[in-house]
Amino acid sequence: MLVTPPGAALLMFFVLPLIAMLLFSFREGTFSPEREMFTLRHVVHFLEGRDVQRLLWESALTSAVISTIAVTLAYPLAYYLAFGARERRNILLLLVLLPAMTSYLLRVMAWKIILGSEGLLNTFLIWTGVTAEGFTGLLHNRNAVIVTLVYVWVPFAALPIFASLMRIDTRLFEGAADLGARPWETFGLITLPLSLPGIAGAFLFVFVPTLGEWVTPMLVGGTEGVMFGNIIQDTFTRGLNWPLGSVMSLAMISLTVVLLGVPVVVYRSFRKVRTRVA
Amino acid sequence: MHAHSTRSTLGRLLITLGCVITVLLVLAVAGCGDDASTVTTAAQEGLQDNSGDGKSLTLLDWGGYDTPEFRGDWDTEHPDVKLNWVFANEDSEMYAKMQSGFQNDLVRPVWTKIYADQGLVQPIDTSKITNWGSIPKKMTDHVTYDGKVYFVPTAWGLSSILVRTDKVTTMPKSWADLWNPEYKGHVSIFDSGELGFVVAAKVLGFDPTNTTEDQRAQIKQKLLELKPNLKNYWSDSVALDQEIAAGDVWIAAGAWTTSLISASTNNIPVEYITPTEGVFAWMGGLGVSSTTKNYDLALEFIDSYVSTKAQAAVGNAWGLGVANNDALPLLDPATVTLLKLDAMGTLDSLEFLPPVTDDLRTAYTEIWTEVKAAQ
Repeated sequence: MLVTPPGAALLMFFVLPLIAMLLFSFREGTFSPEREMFTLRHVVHFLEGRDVQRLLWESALTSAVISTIAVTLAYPLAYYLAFGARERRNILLLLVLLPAMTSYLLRVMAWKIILGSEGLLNTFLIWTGVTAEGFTGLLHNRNAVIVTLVYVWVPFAALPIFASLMRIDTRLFEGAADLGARPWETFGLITLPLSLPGIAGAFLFVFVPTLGEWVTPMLVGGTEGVMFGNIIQDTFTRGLNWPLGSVMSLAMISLTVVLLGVPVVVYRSFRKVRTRVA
Repeated sequence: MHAHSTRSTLGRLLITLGCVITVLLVLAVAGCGDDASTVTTAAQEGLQDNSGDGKSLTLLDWGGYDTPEFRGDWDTEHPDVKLNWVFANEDSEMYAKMQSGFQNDLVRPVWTKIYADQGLVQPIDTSKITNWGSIPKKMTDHVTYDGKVYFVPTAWGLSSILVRTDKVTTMPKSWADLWNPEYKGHVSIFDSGELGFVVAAKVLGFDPTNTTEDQRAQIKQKLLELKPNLKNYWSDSVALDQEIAAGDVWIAAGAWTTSLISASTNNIPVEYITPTEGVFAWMGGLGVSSTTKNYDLALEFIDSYVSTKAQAAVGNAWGLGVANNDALPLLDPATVTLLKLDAMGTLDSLEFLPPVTDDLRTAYTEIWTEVKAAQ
């Protein structure tokens, strides 16, 4: 397995860097003369830092919220693409993916323009008379981060859902209709359960990258929207503390594995139970 | 069955072999880190090395400093020397690059002392810098360590507080006023642990270069108390200018003179105040790498950069403080008035940010990280 090209690629680009990071976590320093020394002090430092640990947990919650909203918004989009679009499907698919082909930074900056206190949204609200002065609290907080990241990730979340919906045999719908099922019953009992792998995939697809996000929090998050990625970035670049940064990165990876591993284990044991019962 | 078990044994053998190779590779890669120290030690013996061909110079610099006017007559005097510019956005980036063994001839940091401490730059033979005498003593003192000069100052700039006069009811007069609850949610501070640390230390009456652990805890607490007033941390001065223009940010702490110029040009009512604790100033200088092979050529370049003509160009283009006193009469009077840049008076009242040492850097980064993470 390891001598095949995919195996070698996995080894080189995934396993090796992880092991390097693991070894780095136990180093004394980055550039100091004693940097090669083995030490646990960075691990201890991280384990003692209550605020940073809490931030990791809160970032995971924020990512979960972002993923849930993104998947919820992406589902109708994917549904229409799969069953409603017909001849125009390819063009619509292209339109959905078009924002993803523009610069990520531009899309984030666009939200700064929209949410700013003299931005598009506030100008519109003042013009329609909803508010006299506009809301200053739209930008530079956690909500701005959530809104921006949902916007960025909805096109990507739509794809796995779309793929799993396309795999559903449409004869099942006919069969259900013949047996007297109403449209929402068909949806709830057939479409939704069968598209669950797509939903799970979409959730994962959004959750993992957003957990490590730091550019969007930096641009639109203010002080409240700071996420764990910002702390890692600060530690590596300004702090020049690569060992501590490695510890933090591994902590984040471990949390992700645990958070995502638990549902998988539960799902597998659930399936075993069901098969046994059946 | 027989064939199957042979394959699985082979498979297991390959996997074990793969793991061993992986670990060996990783250890080799991780061990490569001491290249930098070997280079530095060897370099200590090879100072003032002129064995290079004199055909090119590599500079590690901030963006924009490669403007031709900023180097005076260099291009006409040395047409055959190729200049390779490598840019970094921050001091820490430059420092990390050089520590990782990057081969350059010149570097222009603000964190001057730490390079000298770590042996990354070598002493400068000031007899070879014709313009050395025109540089004010206050600046040359800042780059002289243990009696040796390690950098040639090339520019200085201010780091103060920029205020939207039409948005605030009470004008702030000091760094301590940043904590005034009246400005809740409208203060933006430079995203640098260094500035936060120094400001809080000054406000509490401590010496930033010499703090006890208890004092550092107080500094951290003071910074935590600032958080409710903060709108965000700024790291990009252009983004800051936009936020000041939009009225989201009323008070920009640690703002540079470029923000003042930008706001004034766009007719936004602002004032760049002089806090009672003092304005901070940063100073950048050119240093010669310990591993350069073109020592004399590097010094000639530095000399061109601090020539009267070149310094006047820098001052007029960016409103930065100049290092060469002879360039002062050549500065655009409007810039001088706007920045109150009238020579010695201003320079004497300035306080350069303390030289960054490794201990100071670790201390303030840790505090800043914890302040940012706290909710």
